[in-house]
Amino acid sequence: MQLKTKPFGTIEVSEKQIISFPHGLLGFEDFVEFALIEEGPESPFKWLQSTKESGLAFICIQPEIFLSDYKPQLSKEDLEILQTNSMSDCILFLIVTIPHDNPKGMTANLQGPIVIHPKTLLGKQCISKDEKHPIRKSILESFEEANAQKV
Amino acid sequence: MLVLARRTNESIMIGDEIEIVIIDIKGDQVKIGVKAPKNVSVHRTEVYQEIQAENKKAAETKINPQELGKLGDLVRKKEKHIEKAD
Repeated sequence: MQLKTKPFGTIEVSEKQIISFPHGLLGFEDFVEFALIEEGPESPFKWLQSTKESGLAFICIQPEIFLSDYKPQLSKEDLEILQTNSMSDCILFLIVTIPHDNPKGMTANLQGPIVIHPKTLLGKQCISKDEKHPIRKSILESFEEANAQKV
Repeated sequence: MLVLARRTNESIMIGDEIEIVIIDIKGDQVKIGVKAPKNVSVHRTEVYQEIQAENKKAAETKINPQELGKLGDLVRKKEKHIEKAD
C-alpha cells in the first residue's frame, strides 16, 4: 500500500510493516496504527510513522545497539494487549529525541519502551518500573560507558 | 470526582478487586498501598505525564536527512568499536 510519510514523502509499505497500537502512544492516544519503516539499509534508526497523520512520525532505535543489559519488566496487562505470554516473543524499540541545537546529544526513552509482537503485529508503549531506566538516556554516552566497563 | 475522607489503615475498594489502603500520613505526604490484580498496571501520574511530554518532544524532532544519516553512521561506528573490544 501507498503511505504518505514525514521523512520520505509517499512510499510503498507492506502490510507486515503496519503495527496496531490499541492504546496509541502516550500523549497520542488517538493514533492507533503506525508503519515501521527503515531509515536506510545501514542506519540504526527506524521510523514509526502514523498511518493516519503523515506529519506524525517518531525516530526509534533498538536498545541492543547501544545497551547491553536493557530488560524492562512488562506487566501482565501489557502482555495481554500484545497477545503473548512472553516478552521474548517481542521486539523492543526506544523513541529517540534529537535536540535541534545539539544532535549528538540525542537521547532514547528507556522508561517508555515500544514493544512490538511481530506475530500479531500488535504494539504498545509500555512503562518500565525499573528506576535505572531513565526517560532520557544519551545514546552516544552509553557507548562510552560500555567501553569504560570493559577496561 | 468522588471525595472520601479516610484515616490511617482504612481503605477504599474500586470495583471488586482493587483496594487502596492508607498506610501512613506524615505532614503533606500520604503513603498509599494498592492491592490490585496482576493485570492492572499502577504507576505514579507523573510517569505518564513525563512520557507523554517526551513523546511530544520526540514527535517535534526536526532533522534533515543528511544529519540523521551522519548520526546513524556515528552510532554504527561506535557499535563496531565495542564489538571489537569484546
